[in-house]
Amino acid sequence: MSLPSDLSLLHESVWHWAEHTPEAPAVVGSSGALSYSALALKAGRVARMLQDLGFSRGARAALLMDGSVECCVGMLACLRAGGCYLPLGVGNPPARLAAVIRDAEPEAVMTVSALVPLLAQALELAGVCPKAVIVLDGPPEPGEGGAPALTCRMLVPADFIHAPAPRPCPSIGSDLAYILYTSGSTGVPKGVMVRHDNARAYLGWMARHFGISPADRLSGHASPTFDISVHDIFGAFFSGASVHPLETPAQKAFPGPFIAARGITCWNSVPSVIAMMVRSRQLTPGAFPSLRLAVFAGEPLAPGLAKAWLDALPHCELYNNYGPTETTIVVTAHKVVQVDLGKPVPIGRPTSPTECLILSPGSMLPAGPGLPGRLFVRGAQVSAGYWRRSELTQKAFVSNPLQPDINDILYDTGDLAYRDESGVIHYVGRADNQVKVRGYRVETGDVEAALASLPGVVEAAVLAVVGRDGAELAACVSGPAAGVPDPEDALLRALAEALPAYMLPHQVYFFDELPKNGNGKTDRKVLLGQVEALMREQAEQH
Amino acid sequence: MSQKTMDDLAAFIGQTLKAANLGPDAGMGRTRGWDSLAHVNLILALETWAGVPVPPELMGELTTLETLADWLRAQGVLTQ
Repeated sequence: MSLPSDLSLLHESVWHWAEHTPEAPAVVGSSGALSYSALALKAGRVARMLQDLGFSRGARAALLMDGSVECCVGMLACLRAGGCYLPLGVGNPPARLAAVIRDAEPEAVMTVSALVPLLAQALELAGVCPKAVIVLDGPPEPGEGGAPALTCRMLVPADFIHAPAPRPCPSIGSDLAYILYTSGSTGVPKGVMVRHDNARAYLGWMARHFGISPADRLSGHASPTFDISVHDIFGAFFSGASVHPLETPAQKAFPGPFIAARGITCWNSVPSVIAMMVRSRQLTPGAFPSLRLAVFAGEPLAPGLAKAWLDALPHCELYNNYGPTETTIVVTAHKVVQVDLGKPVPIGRPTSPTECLILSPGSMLPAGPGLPGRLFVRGAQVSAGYWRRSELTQKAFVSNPLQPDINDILYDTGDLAYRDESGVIHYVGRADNQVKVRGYRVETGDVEAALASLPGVVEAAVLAVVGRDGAELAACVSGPAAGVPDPEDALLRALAEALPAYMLPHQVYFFDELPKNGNGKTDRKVLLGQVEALMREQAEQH
Repeated sequence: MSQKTMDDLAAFIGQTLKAANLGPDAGMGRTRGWDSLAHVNLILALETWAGVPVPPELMGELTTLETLADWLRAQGVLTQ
């Protein structure tokens, strides 16, 4: 049984399946599972409480929690109440969380008891007091070491366990479903606004293309701050299947036993996970007989990793997908059937709701086959732009130069790509300083701004280098080394107060002065050469 | 195989993760630089350092200084 086509909102599938297959598992966590009827009931109660608090169409609720049963309840409650959700990264330091909270001004924040102390710190730093903090799994333990007390109104399950059914959802398809914050080039994170329509368009394609059925069990490896979590969670809900969040760092690093124990049929993660599985001897021939589909996205899939996967699991379809957050999860997909070790794995063809245009930088006309150009995306998955950043939105979401007379918006991905003779798209690289570190987007300017704010730092530049595990960040600074016993450790400790772990540089190099070009600006090309020479020296010493 | 001490283990982990002053509560997710990918690298380096292979099914469980030390003691690598 498929979903009726008139369901236009992201969450509506859950209530559909709650009516038609109420006992089917929807989300399975380590401490228990919720069927579709139980999930709808629980999320509905929280939604009603949100509505009673005045949460209505267009409202925002932040979610500070990792992938879990509670996280699914929280997301659905926000949507069912008529608002949108915005995930906060649990690995972020309080200062970074505070910056997002100040920017988004959420009406409510949902979390779990273990994270209440972190949330209290973030809210205090932000100077923001939402209408309520909702702790979805029960009251927090009193007196967590040194954390400030929560000064906002706190609600726990006892407050909403008897809530009546929610009032009708006021949303329409063009309303926002979620806001995802990504690294911003000036040091301030930016929120990408995604509508119900955008996500619905992707999920419809996903269900058809991958043949997702109620029998499928989808993995939930990604953090909710990462939009491939929408593929996992709402991709499962769209088709009446179940999602299985990986809830601990150990499960995420060593997913093999989890895949086997849960009988996962559809895997989705960043490709770095394959590298971890190969090196830790989890990817062995014939492993994971339940897996029928593996989808990788978020960063380039190295041909060696693709080959390792195909060699070990020939029974499992392998896909290399591509898509910026601004164009909703994935916009191109490539089924990998054979790998040429000397060539990058293509990113494939566009999803049916989208069109990819590769335009020559100078002429802005379509680049011919084999010729690289800038990749633009148009169609139903192009999101609504950046939250409260109209200038940035106008810069990245541009009028179609090929059809200037109609209101046709293209998203400028900033990626360089080419189309081969058969129409398959190949990723070439970035046109700017954005880097992907294990699937996380990092604007080097964001890290540079944080470095420059540290005491003693005179100059800072952050470069992308190729390390043992793929792209890594190398920080180059002048100033702070003198008189500090362990300057790298001191600098990284200070930086960890401001940035999430994935944005911390892997290496720090200290210079008396950074090299300059003729305009007096840091010469990044020369600097990269110097850093690569230092890396070679370090490798030889080991 | 020469026996190693808890201090040796803490120093080895600190050096591998480039984290100074590793406390007794160090572990994946709570020590800077000890994330999932770093943990895989750490386990592989530890196999060489300790001279014993870590069974894949245990790799996801030995995620703190304390659990690693307990396991290495049971293998006779670390002094009691």
